[in-house]
Amino acid sequence: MLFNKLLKKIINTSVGKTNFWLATIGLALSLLLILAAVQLKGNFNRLKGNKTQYLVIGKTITNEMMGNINKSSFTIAEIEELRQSNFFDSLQGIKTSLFKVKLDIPVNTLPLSTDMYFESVPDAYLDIMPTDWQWKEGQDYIKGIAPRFLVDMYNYGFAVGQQLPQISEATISTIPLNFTISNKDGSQKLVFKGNIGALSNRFMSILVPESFMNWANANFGFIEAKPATRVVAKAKDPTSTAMNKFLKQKGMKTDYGDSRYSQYGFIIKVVETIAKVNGAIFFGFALLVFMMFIQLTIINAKQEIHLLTTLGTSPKQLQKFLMKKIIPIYSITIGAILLVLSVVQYLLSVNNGLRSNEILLSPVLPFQVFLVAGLLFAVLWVINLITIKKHIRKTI
Amino acid sequence: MTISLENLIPVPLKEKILKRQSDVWNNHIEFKPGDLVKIKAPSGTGKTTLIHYLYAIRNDYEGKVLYNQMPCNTIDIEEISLLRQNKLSVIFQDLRLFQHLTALENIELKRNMQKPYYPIERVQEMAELLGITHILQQPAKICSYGEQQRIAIIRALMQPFEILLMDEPFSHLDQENSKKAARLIAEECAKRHAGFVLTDLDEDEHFAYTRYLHL
Repeated sequence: MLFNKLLKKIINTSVGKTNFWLATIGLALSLLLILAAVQLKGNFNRLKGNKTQYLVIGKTITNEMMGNINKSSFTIAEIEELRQSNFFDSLQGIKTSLFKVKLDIPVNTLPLSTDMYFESVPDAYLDIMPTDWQWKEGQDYIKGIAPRFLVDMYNYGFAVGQQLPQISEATISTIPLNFTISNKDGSQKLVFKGNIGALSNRFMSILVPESFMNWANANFGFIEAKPATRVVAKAKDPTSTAMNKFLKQKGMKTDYGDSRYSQYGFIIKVVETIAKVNGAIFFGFALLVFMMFIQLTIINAKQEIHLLTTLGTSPKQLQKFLMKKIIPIYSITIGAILLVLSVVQYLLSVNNGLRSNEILLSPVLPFQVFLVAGLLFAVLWVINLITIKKHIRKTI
Repeated sequence: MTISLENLIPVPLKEKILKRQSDVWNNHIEFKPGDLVKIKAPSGTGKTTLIHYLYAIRNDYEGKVLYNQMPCNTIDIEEISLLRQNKLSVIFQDLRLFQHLTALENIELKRNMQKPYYPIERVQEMAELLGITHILQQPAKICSYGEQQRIAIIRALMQPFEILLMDEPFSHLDQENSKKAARLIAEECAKRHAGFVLTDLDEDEHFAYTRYLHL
């Protein structure tokens, strides 16, 4: 527009240009720090939200407890106390088999026969569910879920030491297994074919469908039903230090389940806080320099602005003109930072190192990053408008 | 729009004014569209001060200057700006051009400040009428006073208005150029059914004044 072109000739906006560009660099740096912190936190929350809210809580085994299994088990009152504690959305005791279980592998290259036990939890608490997981009475085939650490232990320790073949995760499900369940004296016995359908990071034992566990406990169980020794809980915030303190006080620990994310939680919080504090300081300084630039420009063009308003230019027209000089710089800076972070996010999402550690990130930036970017843009916009308005009113 | 004065007395000239008779100072007076008012006064009696009060750029006075019955010093600057863009135009005695802008840019600034009242071609026509086509691309600072005065006149006519304020608008022009400029101003006021308030030192026959006032 011609009017704006003429205003550009009248109001010199090149005063303090060096400071202006330094402030722009400062702004970019502050936005990078703040938005990267939000990105970090957003990604962590997404991971946590996906599958890391579940904790397996057990009692800390002390010398006094040794030989007395009841002491290491949860009482009904203790489970109720956990329920009432407000740290968990839901929780459930892990069921243990009350019958004998024997595992055989009917493959010559992997000769294995061992006594073992089963555990079960309601499906909602599983971190992974194999296909054909459900079991109905009369079915002679059961699927199991094995802990991933067990496979690692076999592959990196046992197999190497015993000169046995290592097994890939894909192969595990193809190994046929025979589970023999029996009562105390073996007078009642039933053999089930089965396989390991999936590997869990959350549970440390072989899990079977709860419907099978209930049926087998009712028909083959001979051990008196014990209260649960471990509880699986959906935590409101698995990184909560208050929750960890509460559990410690009660002699419980959460070194199971998705606890690695709880440990990361603290580190993430520290990194996030440092980045945000530094970002906020940079942001504050950049804002201050921008405000000084505006003030300097207006003071420098005091006479011209006065004549312009005398001739009928409205303060709003002048505000609009000065805002147009600055706001595109902010928009471009924020856009560039979002672009950089988007590229970083994409590279992280396809990074093999992270993927092999089951840190599966979305290729898209967490929405909170856009939200905070929008908010910071609004702050810049409002503060600039107020500054321009104030100084123009002072001048005319 | 109407501009009314109620017992207006400039503070710096108060003592002087209260000692003598004036048609304007310390009186009730109204300026309306269609009124062609000539205010004649010798030097130092406050002609420029009056124009500045009427245009609301000075308020060191007693009494009131009312825009449509509203004291103009209580009207927000945004609203005043709108009036200056659409209802009230001015030719200052000291011209007030942007010296580093060309003559054309000075005029274009005013033409584009609001929705243009005239197309750019009209600038050329007016410049031709007043004989300043050749200096349109020159910076105002290298134009003569006479040329600058004609630029200021064209600039004032580039906007819609109901009242035009003029402070010795022909002070730097010869008889011939004054006549041409006056004819153009009269035409433009007639087109808009507008009025004007013109202050000057002497009598003149440039316009068919509807009122003569002594300051």
